[in-house]
Amino acid sequence: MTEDAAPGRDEPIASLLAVFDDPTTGRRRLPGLVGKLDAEAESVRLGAAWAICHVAAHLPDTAAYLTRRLTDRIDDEEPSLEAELAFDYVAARYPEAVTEELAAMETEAESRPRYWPVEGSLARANYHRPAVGERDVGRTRLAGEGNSSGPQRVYTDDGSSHDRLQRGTDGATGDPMDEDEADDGDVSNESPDAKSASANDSDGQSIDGPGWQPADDIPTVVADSRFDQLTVLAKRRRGRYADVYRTLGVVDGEQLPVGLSLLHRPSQGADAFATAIDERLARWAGVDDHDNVVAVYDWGLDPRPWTATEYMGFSLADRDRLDRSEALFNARGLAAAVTHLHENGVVHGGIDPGNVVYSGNVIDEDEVQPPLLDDVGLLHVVRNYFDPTSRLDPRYAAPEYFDRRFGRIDHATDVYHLGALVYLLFTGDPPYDGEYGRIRDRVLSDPPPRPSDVADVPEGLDEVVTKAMARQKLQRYEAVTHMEQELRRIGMEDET
Amino acid sequence: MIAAVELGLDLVGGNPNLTFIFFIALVLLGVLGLRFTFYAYRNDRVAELAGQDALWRTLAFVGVTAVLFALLGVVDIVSSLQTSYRRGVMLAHVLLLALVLQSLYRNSVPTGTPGSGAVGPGRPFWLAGAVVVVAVTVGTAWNADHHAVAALEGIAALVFLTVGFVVGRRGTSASRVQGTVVDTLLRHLLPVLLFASLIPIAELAVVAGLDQVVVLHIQVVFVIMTATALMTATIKLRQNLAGL
Repeated sequence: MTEDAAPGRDEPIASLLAVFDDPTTGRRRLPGLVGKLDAEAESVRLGAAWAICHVAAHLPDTAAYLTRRLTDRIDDEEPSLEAELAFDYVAARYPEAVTEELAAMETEAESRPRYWPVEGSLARANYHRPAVGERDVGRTRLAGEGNSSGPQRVYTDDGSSHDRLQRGTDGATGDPMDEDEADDGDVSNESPDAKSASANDSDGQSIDGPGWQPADDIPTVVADSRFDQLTVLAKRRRGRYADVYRTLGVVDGEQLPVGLSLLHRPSQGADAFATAIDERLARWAGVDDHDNVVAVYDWGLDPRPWTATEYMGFSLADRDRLDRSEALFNARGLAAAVTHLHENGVVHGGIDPGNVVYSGNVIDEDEVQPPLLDDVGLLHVVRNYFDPTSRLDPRYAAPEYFDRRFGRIDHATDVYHLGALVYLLFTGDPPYDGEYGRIRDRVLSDPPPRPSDVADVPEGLDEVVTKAMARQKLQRYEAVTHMEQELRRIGMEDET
Repeated sequence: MIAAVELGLDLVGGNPNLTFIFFIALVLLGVLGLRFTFYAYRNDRVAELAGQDALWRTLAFVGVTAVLFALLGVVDIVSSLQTSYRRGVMLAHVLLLALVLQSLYRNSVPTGTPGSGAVGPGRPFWLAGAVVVVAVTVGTAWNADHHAVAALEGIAALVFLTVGFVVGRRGTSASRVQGTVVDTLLRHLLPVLLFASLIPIAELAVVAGLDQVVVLHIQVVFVIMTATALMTATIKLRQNLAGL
């Protein structure tokens, strides 16, 4: 594969070329490709625009997603020429889809609530409306942002009626963001009505679907939190588990980048859900003292379950294929994190690329950033109230999620998911792909996939992945420490 | 015939101390064997996956043979009933253990995958083993020539031990198995096989001319060791059941 032949520093170009080899793989590469429109190198930006057009030409259903992502860039004060190029192509090729999406965006913008900094202590419970000319503080360009009709489509598979393979993530952002934009006072998508809409305006929440609650919960959340001050820096982003706000918290004079998540509430059994989530969050907080686990600063249940965690800008789902050393670094870090969880009696249960997150707002492919596990243990509760296939990417899900006969969700499930992530890290592809039913059949009947069948991987990695992803728990690693040890050995052998 | 059976202490080797220790050892083996059987059975019932039924059932039979051996031994001690044919039951226990080790290995390293190679003897071997078990059981029940039966029993156990040990060791050293639950189960069952097989193998010492009472003293130690090894293997079965 072209991609295999050019790992490391050539990765940006290699990933562009890989799209030309197989445009159908471009669907999951789109977040990365769009992100490359901001690259410093003009050749990369142009290549990304070219690749985006190529993917759009082969996958018409990506038009809606691209419309949203590209208009963000075109609306900038310094619009990206390459984004305009790609947008023009998509608009010319799919005029109806683009028009529809633009109309949908306008409707959303009119009804979207906006938030501004909230002061701590007693005053922090009060929102204040900005004066005329006061600027919005930023915006996100996230896969999975806003309502589901748009960006999340990119994660679905071709022509599938099972629109469940979304990889939207609570911690994901695909773009450099946001301080500049915040200062630029971008309100271009806002209608006059929206500009004057109060954050407490219940009408402003009408876009929320079932299970979503008005975000005027935020003042109560802030009042109950340990933060002296909590400034909301960006508008809401709809994640798989929660509505997420990028905020800046202040505790004892120390500023912390905080991801404030208002968890989705089920339409029924909200109290039981809150109690169960509280228990899980307490467990998560008990194991967040590891370098590869997202730290929980605070959480609460009133007026709805919420968490304040370390802010994570993007996830593994937003990244292109990593070079071998970074893949190994990530695999070992994640194995260490899972080992830490298991040693403390915590099962994650929902490890997939969306729950592997990275700090910062920019995906810098030249910088090795440690991976962190997010949403630790929450899926155990969430899956009882929401469709689990929308909270866990089925391509990485263990057989026991598809068929009860394979046993309970336990430590062995994490082992499987970790194996699937290792596969992704080294190959750039999910272990299984396709329509939901086909994935399910393959997970339940096919032997575990071998990374060496699709990529050049270190010797011994096949054994690690096939052992971790064995269908029967009997044949999986008994403990993640064993897997961690073997990954370490592979690393040492690879270095020599 | 049952009416003819009288309850009363029948000393093992005519030695009260040895009888007491044997009684304790057999009760221990019976209880722990029963526990092992229960968890193997529960695993079989709960694990509905195709391909695992044979494994769990064989493990359940391993437990059943241990319980049967212990029960017959206790009956021998507390009644006038002679149950020397229980030696055949212990040989069956050893045979099944060797078979389980091979099943575990085959389950983990399917034929055709790297490292699968020869994973042990085929069906004829196990059928021949079953015939030997029946022969020993019948031979001891009919009070056939003691030395001939003891030799057959000891040699058969030695062969079963060798086969099981080789397959088990090959399994634990296979990279496809290392670190997995199967690996741990193999490592737990190997000591059971070792100690259980030493009980019939000790009979070879009688053939070699050692006093039967001395051999009984040795065997009781192996009975206790078998029971304790079964206990640790049961832990693994419980853990597996918890995940199902």
